[in-house]
Amino acid sequence: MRPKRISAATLASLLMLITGGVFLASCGSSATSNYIPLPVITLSPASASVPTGAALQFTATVVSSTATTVTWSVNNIVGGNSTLGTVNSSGLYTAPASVPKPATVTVRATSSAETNPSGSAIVTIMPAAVNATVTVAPTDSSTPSGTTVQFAATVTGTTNAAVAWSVNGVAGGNSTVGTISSSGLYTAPTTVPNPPTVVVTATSQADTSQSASTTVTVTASNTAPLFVNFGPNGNTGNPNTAYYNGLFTSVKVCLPATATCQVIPDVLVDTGSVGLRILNSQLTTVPATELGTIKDSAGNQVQECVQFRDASYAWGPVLVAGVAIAGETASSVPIQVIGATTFPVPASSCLSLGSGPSLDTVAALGANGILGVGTSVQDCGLNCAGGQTFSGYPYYVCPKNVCQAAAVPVKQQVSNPVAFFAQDNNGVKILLPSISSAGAPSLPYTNAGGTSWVSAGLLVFGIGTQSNNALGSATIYATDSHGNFPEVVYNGVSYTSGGLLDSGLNALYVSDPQTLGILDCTDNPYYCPNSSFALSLTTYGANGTSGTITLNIANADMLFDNNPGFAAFNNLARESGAGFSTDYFDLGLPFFFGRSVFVGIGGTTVPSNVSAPNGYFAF
Amino acid sequence: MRTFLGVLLILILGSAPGWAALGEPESSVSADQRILRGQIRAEVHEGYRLHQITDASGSVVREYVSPEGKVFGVSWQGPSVPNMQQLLGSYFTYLQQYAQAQTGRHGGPLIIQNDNFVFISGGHMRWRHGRAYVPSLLPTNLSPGVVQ
Repeated sequence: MRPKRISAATLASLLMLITGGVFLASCGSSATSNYIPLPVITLSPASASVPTGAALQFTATVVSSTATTVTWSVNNIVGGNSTLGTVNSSGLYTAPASVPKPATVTVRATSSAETNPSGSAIVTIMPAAVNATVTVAPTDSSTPSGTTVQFAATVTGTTNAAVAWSVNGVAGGNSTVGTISSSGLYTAPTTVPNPPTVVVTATSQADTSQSASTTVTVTASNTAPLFVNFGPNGNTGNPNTAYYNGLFTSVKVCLPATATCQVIPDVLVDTGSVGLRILNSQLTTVPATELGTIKDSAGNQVQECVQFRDASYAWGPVLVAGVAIAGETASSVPIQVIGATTFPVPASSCLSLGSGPSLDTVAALGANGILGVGTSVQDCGLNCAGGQTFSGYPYYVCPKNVCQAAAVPVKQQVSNPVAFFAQDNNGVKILLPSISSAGAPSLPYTNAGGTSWVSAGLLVFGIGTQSNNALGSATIYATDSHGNFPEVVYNGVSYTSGGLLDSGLNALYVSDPQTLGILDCTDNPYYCPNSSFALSLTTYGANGTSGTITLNIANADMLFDNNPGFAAFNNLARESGAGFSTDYFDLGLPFFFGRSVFVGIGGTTVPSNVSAPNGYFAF
Repeated sequence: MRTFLGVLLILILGSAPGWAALGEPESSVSADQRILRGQIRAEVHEGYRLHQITDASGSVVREYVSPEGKVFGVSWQGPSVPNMQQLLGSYFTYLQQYAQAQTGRHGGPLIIQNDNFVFISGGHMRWRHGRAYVPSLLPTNLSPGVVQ
């Protein structure tokens, strides 16, 4: 806007224009003809409060007998600056991005006339209204130690997009948890921190009450982050279907002997099964049709059906893929691709326990695949290699569209990929953080401000092969020839079917309501004791070791009602039996929280003088 | 058998009848024998008779017969699941109803408990176990725990 120019002859009638009604003594109508009044400049508004980053239009009213122009300044700096705010030649003032010290500045319009008369206004810069919201990306990432992750913060609701970065609440981070630059470049520490997950927070500079946090998990070459987050189906909000305590990681599958690979996220990590099984629907850049094949002597592709004990089944071909997890690689591993077949389902295997659901969709499986890292190398072994078949036999060939059981050499059976790694191939360690008895929203988790957070878990490859997978003081429980603890004792009763540590199960499967003296829930499949119920089990190893495990069973209704968004619970349990001495104790993911659990593969090197030919658990 | 509890034990190797379906007469089983193609033995215990067969995978199937000659319980243990339709006979319907009601994987043992039928399928990939019995056919004075 141009300053208004007003002739002396009309001054009297224009007094009302002057802000604040200041009487100008020199402008009376009695002025003589040889008196040249100095320009008088007033600004409107005369004072104002302006939020950081916001703009305000000033109007200079110049009372002058001669044409004049004005120059705008802030604290006498022409045009202002980024600290004090800027003002353009039209009088548009833009407040600085952050509140200056002091918070008051003077906006001035100075006339070019002789003596440079000026008018001024007082501006107080206020923090912008709390409409700023911050988001940060990528969320819940992982990165190898010593590497970098570029984070980006998006600030909305304010014109000031500047943020301050911190790691675990430390501005700029430090060498232990990693550092972060002013531009959001995070550099992971060279040593994996403990816990391995750190929280990166971006705080709005316009409004320091607003921030966003996310986690980044620092991994070693033999570790992969583990997530508990409801998996690909998300939180259904229904306790009967929500995948509480699902343990997931990412697995890279490759066409054999090529660099053509695809990362499959949300693969269930299961110590209770053996072998990698991937949903055909998830394979895109690495299609099943281009993977290696396993065929019988007549050239028929080998198929497999595994019916799990819950009557669900997985049916699909046995194919060969490169497998890489974290920094570990195996060049060719027999895997099952679930659903990559049009052959009819062999009822004697897939439907032995009834016509249960086919696990060929994400909806049914609750995952994109299963990574079975149990105590053996193959999923069947010699029983499936000798030519004798039996009810429930898993391997088939289907010439002329008729499937018949087929012997498959042990080395061509679906296998634990860990055993095929070039190193760190004798088992795994699963390390999960402790969580509250009320549960945790997810693993990893952080609130917006980064003040409350939970680490991711770690899947560590190898046992006693690196500094991060030593057995330490863990007790080794050699499994029996069935892959079980040979015996579990509860309340003085010996259960001779023993038990298992099963990360692929989402609850503690223990005993029955009558034996424990607690109730089942009425609206979901878990236990609902009136108050938290403690359970003490003595587990025995085939090598003669024994130890006591204390578990807690919470009221599942209360867990879900109190925190409906939570995915992780260390005290969720349900029935495993009907009160017989053959009942089985299947300790699912709740057992793993707050522990390091080792699962040794039978036939591999045990980093101890313990004999465990069938594999072992250690914790 | 882990414990014999003073029972009268008679071992008949090879020549015993095969195994029957749950709820059916002991005498109805000759057709079943060929299915498992394994070793069979029979034992006589106080209050019941037991037929035991080991199949090619090493899985052991046990069949419990009441003094009235009806199969009141079955169990299995080993690398594989036996043919349940064969083993459970008409009670397979309960298993079918359960299986068809499932929509996805929970991964845990399959447990059915009602007044007519009790069933558990447990174990893991290379070792399966389970048992089933019919409460109404259980001989008096016997605990369901004999079905092991």
